[in-house]
Amino acid sequence: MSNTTAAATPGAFQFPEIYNFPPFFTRQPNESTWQEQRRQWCDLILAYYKHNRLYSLTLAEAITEPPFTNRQIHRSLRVDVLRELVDDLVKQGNASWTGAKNAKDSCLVLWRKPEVWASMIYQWANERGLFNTVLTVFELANGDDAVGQEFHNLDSVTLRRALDVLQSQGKAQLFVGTSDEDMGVKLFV
Amino acid sequence: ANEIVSMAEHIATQLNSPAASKLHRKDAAESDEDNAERVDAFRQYLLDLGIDSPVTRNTAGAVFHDELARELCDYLENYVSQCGGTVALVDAYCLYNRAREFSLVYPSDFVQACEKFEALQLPLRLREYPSGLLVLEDASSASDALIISRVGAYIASFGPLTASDLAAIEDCALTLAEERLWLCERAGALCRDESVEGVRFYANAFAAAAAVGAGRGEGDVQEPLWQYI
Repeated sequence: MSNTTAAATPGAFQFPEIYNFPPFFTRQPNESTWQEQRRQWCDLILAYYKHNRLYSLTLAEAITEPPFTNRQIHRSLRVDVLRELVDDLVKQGNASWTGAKNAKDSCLVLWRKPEVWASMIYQWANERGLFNTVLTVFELANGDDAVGQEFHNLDSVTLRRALDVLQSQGKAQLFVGTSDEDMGVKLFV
Repeated sequence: ANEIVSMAEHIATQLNSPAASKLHRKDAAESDEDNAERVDAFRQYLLDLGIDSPVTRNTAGAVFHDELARELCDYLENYVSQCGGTVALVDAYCLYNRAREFSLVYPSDFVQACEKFEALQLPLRLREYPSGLLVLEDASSASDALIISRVGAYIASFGPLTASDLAAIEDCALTLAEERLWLCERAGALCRDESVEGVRFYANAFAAAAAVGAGRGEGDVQEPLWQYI
């Protein structure tokens, strides 16, 4: 399982068998059954979002589309169940609520944790000798040097989270520009 | 002798008080069961002494419910068997009272007698499901394990079941079919699919998946396999 594969993953997403099992879309009342069900849902959500390079979800819209709707079997996950699943993902560090506080209607899906993105970026900067130079955040993720890297064209909100991690670890300094795209960053040892 | 009689009458009145009859209620506390037995025994002593009590039926309480329980079992045992081993309590009550014709039995007395089946080692049992449904069951054939394996076999043959499907197969009341499906679900043998078409029960594929996962040593790992560092 290499960590320097190209960013784009080819082919259609392979759904697990459980995806075609109608009870998968009903919140199971039996507690131990639910534990297994939610484990499979969390895995599916992260795998699907990673495969399709999606970074955020708005609950009310998401439930009408795959993976939360399976048109073949005419089943959809209910929005309150999805909310419960996102809460689980938040607990394990794989999601983060965005939008209005306590509204819980949109979130980031962190199929790769910001800490992991952070260390990838830092390692790349080390290899390219980019320490102690100021780059724009935009250039860092979208410039020519980033082509072929996992974080190439990374979603800006997620990228910002990763850089925040580096800053808190004392490995980077962010400079506020007039907008997020103008924001600068300097990485150092 | 007069002193003993008046003392006995005083005790009899206390035994017939609301507090004492509370001890016989279904939801009496554990410690109250001992007290209830002592109360019953005492009533029996009073009867033996030939003491009159203002409320005759309650004085016979010690013996009345036991005798009623035996009579009920004799009468209902065959009926319960014919109905496949389980009958809703209300149905049993109606049937029995209709047979008694004139000296009808109060519902509370009926229930109290049924509660004694197990203690008297009679062949029927009173059972309360979590939803509150009360049934009389054949003590020998109505165990949970039997129900679970039967329902599992039906699903293997006929596919996923709704409560009305099961009621048709077992020729039983719809509420009873529901209780059986919920019992299997609580035991983890089944899982449910809720849709506009209603509720349908499947064999629990999640339990099977969990077993495979545990066998592989994944257990409760929070980090999904695909997330590599």
